[in-house]
Amino acid sequence: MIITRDASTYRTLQYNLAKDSTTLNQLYIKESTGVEVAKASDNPAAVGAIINGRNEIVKGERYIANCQHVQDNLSVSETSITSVEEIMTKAKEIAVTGANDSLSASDRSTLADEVSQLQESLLGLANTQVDGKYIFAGYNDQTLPFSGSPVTYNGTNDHQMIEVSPGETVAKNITGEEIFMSPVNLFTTLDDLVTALKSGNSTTISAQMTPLENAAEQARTQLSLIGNDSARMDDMVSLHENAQLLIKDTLSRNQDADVTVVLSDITKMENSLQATMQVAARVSKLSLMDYL
Amino acid sequence: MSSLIASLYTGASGIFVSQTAVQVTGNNIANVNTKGYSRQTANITSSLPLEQGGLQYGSGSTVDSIDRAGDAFITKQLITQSAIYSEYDASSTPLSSIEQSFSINDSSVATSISSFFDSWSALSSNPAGTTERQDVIQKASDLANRFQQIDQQLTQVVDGINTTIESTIPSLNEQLHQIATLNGSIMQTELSSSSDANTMKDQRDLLVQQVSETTGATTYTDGAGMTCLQLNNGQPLVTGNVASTLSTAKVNGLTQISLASGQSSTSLNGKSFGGKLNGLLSVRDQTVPEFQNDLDQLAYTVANNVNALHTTGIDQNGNPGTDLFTLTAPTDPLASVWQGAAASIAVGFTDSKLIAAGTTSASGDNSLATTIANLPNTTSVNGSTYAEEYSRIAAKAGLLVSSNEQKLTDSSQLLDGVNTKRDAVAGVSTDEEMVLLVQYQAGYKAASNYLSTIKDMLTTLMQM
Repeated sequence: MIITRDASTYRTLQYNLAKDSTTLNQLYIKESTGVEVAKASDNPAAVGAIINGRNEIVKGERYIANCQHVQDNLSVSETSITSVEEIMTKAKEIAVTGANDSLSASDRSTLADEVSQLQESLLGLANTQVDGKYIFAGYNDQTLPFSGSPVTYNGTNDHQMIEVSPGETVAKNITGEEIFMSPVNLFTTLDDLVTALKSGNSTTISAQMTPLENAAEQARTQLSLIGNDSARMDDMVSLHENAQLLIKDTLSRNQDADVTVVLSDITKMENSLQATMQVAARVSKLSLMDYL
Repeated sequence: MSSLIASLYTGASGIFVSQTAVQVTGNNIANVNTKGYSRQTANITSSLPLEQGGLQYGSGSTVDSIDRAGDAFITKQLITQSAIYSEYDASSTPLSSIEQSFSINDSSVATSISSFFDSWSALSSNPAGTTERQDVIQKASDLANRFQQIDQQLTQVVDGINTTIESTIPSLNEQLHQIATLNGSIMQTELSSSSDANTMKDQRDLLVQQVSETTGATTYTDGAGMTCLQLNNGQPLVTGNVASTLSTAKVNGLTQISLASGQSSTSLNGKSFGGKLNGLLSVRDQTVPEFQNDLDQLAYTVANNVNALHTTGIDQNGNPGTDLFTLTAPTDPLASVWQGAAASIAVGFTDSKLIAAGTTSASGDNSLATTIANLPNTTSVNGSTYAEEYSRIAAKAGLLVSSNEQKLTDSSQLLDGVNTKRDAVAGVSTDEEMVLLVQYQAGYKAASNYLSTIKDMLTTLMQM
């Protein structure tokens, strides 16, 4: 086969110059953006992993935020419940003091006043508000949950469930019912103590110790549950953070260009383009006409 | 014994032949860059010998014909290969547009979907929050807009293809007409002067190649040496010196091509064509509807899943939740329920109080927000999650583009190979022509010298 320089050689050179320039241009873009798979056709097999990775990152960040949100809410509840526990322990101490036979009626009346004050504080704690929302009210977080005499609970028994990992939800609140009303009613327990102190009978006063202890125990149970959940949130956050690192790593592996490889490809391609250009220059110098 | 006068004629024939050959070479050099030009050669033969005194004397040479280099097999290959290349070339632009619409970066529908459900998760931690509620509405409207945008981009691809087809047909008709005219002219020229109509044949070959690039038409040569063209389905484009006419008309927003041949008119679909038109029509009539259907199904499923849950809730005003997304149902009762969903999806309300975060009217009820936020984890579109389904669509677009690119590269290499073969047979090499020029020039000089010798001899004779 005869290769006619004017037609074939120049066309082939043109074709190769165009091809090399295009490839080189693509490599320059890869190097400057650092992205290997910018569009689906760059690697259709990696599309699933890339979309999934991006999705997982958004979800993971939200789960971490949710875990922290749950933790924040639980720690606010924890502070209040710790105070509740202290109040009940204090009330029990008062009962111990009040049961002492050597106490006069006026001493017991003073103690009864002290208990009434504790009851006020308890009501205040039960109506704790954060961000304008009552934290021990279930879903009715904008209505005063505890009021009246005897004190009644106007909240709901619902937990606000927050998703902390796919399909897994955690309650961010303790309801007023759980901590103040049932099984032990903290308000009536204190009421009973006031009544007993006022009656002046040390046996009746002593009888209040068990319910008071149960009330304090009810608060402690909730505290330990909160502690558990809070620790679980800590674990969950670090779990998600580790997962985020892995996902970001996988995403980068699927999506990002290996800068070193691209650079060496660029060098290779530049050499090839230069060679093609040199050949083009040489071919155009060759002409029989120079010798005729 | 031959006469000196006869020798004069022999010399003159040498001069004439060299002159003609130089003329042919000159024409080759002048056409070195002419597209579709085939190298011509002067076919030199020796003249009929004279017989005298029982001896045969040669009487010089003559240019019998001017031949056109060419190989029917290569020409045919070139036509076929050009059509294949044009098909992939024509598909590549609309396919990349489709791929761009189904992007895999942060502006994709997948990102909008995940942001939308993320806003529900944020709402679940503060169900009464106005900011969170407004964010849900904002993200819902972003999502609806994204679906609409992609749907519009797909429509633009269709519009672009329609416009290309409409602008292609007139020049195609012109080419068909020219081929038919050339068929007639070539036959007349060859009949009347018994010489080859080389230039017109070159023009015709080039036109045939161009028509085939556009339509994938195949050729055959009829008994009169005329080049005839027909479509894949056998419909004639050019028969002898008669050309058919193609016309376009918009039917349901799509440009339809029909062929008028004589009195009859047939409408043509993608299957009738190869080449550029097949590339364009197959994207418009098969690929785009497929992606539109996928997109509609995704939009429909997301909207309906969210609506189905949202209407079970109670909004901030204490009323039952209404549809967050509105869709227009297809008018065609036979169409899939999701047809047109991506084009019509919109947000049903702008008042953030109408968002139902829970199933009761309690301000802290976040139960529904949590349930809706969990929707992306369910497999509700063709057994996949929303993100998986979107990945499938985007990967499909990517595969189409990369396989088309591969085919385009392969066919362009093949085409380059065939072109090189054609050049080897029919291309002009200036070096070769220069050598021929030197050769003919020498022939001319020698013939001139010979003539001058004969003249001297005649003078000698006359002086006796």
